[in-house]
Amino acid sequence: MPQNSFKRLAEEKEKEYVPPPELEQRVMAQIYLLQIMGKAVELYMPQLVQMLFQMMGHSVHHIGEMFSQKEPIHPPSRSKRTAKKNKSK
Amino acid sequence: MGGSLDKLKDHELIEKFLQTQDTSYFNLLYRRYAAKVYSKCISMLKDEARAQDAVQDIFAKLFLNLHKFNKKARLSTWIYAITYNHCIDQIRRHHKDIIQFGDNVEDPDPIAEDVQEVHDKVLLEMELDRLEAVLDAIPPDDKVILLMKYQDGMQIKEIAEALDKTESAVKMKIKRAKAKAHKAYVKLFGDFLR
Repeated sequence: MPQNSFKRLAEEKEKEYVPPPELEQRVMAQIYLLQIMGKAVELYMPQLVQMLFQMMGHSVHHIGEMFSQKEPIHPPSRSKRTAKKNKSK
Repeated sequence: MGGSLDKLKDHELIEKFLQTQDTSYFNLLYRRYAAKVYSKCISMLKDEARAQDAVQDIFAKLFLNLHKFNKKARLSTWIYAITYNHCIDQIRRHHKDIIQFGDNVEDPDPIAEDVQEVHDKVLLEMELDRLEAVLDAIPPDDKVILLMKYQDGMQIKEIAEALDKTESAVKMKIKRAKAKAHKAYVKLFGDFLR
């Protein structure tokens, strides 16, 4: 079955414009760089966070405490607010 | 190793790469898709240097988002969607004031008021140089949607996902893009598409 014009046009363009070999080198160099950056972040991020907290005067245990607050702070419920309003009247 | 790697399917390559972080797997993905991505970038951006920069950015995006790839989808569809979206962004940056990307059905475009039905056959059998001229004469977002449908063979659902639109919006957009192609053809070549 003959291909449609869109597909034939794509084939022609592919033949006409071949990616230069140095483009592959550029792309792969960037991939290596991104990979190294990712590994560096993975390795040093915990230490960096720890250092920042210590600079702020907290210990590492503090971080855990901050996230394990027993009672979350909520705005007063509607009924409490209306009770307050009535009281003030 | 190279020969055995060549036999791996795309999703197997991705899985291997994610497991091992061995860049030779990613390199193979590059070799499989670079030519197609590059020619798409050239046809959209019309400049070899910009197309090369775009290819570099697209593969970097691919690398950073590979873990999000849905294994049920086709990798080619995903890569082409990234390519088209990236090219549209690039063109937008260059002509901020001209291009409006969006399927807005209520767009005050005069074509939207009187969308002529253009049969697929007419577009699919057009002479290549004429087709290229017509595609270059219509807005890039219309060109992209026609390329997705007729060149890459993407389903409406896949196009909708790639462009983050609803399926009905995509259908309308295709219809309008075809009408714009028809209008461009008449303007360029004088005779009517039949």
